[in-house]
Amino acid sequence: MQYAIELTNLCKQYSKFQLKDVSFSLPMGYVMGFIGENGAGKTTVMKSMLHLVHPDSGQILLLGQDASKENADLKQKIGVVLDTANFPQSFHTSDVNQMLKRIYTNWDSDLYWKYIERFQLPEKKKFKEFSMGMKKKLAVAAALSHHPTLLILDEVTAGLDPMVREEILDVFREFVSDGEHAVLISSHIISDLEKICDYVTFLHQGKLLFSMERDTLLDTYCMVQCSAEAAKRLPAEAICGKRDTPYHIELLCKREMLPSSVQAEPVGIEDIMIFLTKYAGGNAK
Amino acid sequence: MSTLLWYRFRVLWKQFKALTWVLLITAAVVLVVGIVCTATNNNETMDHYYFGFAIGFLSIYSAMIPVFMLQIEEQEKNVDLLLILPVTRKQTALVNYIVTWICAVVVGIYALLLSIVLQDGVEMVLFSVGIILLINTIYIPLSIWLGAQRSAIVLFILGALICIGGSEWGEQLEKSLPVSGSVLLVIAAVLLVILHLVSISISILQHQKKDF
Repeated sequence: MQYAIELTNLCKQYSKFQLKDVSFSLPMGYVMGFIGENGAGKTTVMKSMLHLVHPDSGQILLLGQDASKENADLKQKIGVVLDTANFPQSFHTSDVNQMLKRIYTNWDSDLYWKYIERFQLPEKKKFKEFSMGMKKKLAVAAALSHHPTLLILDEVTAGLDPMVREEILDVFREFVSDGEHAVLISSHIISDLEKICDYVTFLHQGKLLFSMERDTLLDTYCMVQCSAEAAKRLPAEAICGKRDTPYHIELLCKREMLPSSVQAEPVGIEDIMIFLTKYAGGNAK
Repeated sequence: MSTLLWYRFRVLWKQFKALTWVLLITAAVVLVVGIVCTATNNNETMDHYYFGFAIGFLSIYSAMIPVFMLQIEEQEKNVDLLLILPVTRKQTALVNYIVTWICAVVVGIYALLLSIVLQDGVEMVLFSVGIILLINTIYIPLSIWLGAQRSAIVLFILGALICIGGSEWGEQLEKSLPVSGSVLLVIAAVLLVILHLVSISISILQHQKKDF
């Protein structure tokens, strides 16, 4: 199997934060959702992949090449959307085209203008007059228009209305459909990730809680609603998170460790995320 | 590298189009006035301090172009934009110096034309090129370390100190050293070139090591 991203024991120490032993892989042809609370270290991991940050230790392979050292040729194959990589406020969409066609060997101006039209971006307005959503759309158009093999997208759907988010997610689905491309996307809008992601990686306070296929994740965990007395009869090792409500107790459990007689409901990625952090109790793995 | 240069000057042009036109027109007017004064032997108007001021102002403005450039980048938070593109950190560090050199060449040619018109020496040329190189020799590596805004404050303080005490220090230095003013100028030029090369090395090294 060919991998678009292979991270092994990535570590980075800051004064008040530490990224510790982050390891995950993304095979070609798939989309990975990268989730975690604010300040979990998602952007630090992405910046490490792009050589914006120097990790203290660990190995980073992108498209089979060592990305821990500077590699301008590798960046020709990667499309990036980062919150801190904005185009100049004085630029128009035509300036972005002029700039990027000089720098990317595979830049496709026709494709760029098709995306501009598709995303309904104004050609005569300066970037500073764009809304946040329009800026994101322009960044996506620029990231896609040089025919990259891998997309690394940080909060790309933030600030977009549901219709536009759906449209952009369609674009990413098309992007990976041939099995020759891959997408790493971080987002706080978990419903978007549930629609598109094949893999989910969860980072919490600089540590990896899990990285697995979405379907396996959703099969691994389940929700049990019961009384306090019934909760006490459940095996402790099956319980990963617990929330008290006025009417019952909600337990995030590992399905395979529960007795078959226990009634369990499916659980979404957002609830898994919340229960494993805010209402944590028991082993997450 | 040519793309990075295009990018730098495109941003500057878009931000300061009107101001740049005013400066170009002012420079052209000063040159024309100089030609007219020389042709008419009008000694009263041909005040070298006036032309010296014009050159000084143009030099300082041109020297500030990389400063403005880096400040805009910091304010607009697009420092990372260049780093995610397929260019090396060395290139992104070096392009700021290339902008400086282009400004120095342009202003130097203008100063040369003016000194020919005024039948003056080359001091104006050396001064204009020197000030552009000196300001950026200090500012560019400082901006990588302290950030663009803080470095501009440090530069302002240094500039104020030089303006207040500069000419007196220069005179005392000239008196105390057993060399003529011209030799002193050559020594200063050589020192400036060496410092500039050291500045480039420091900037490239800092840029390569920095976490963005």
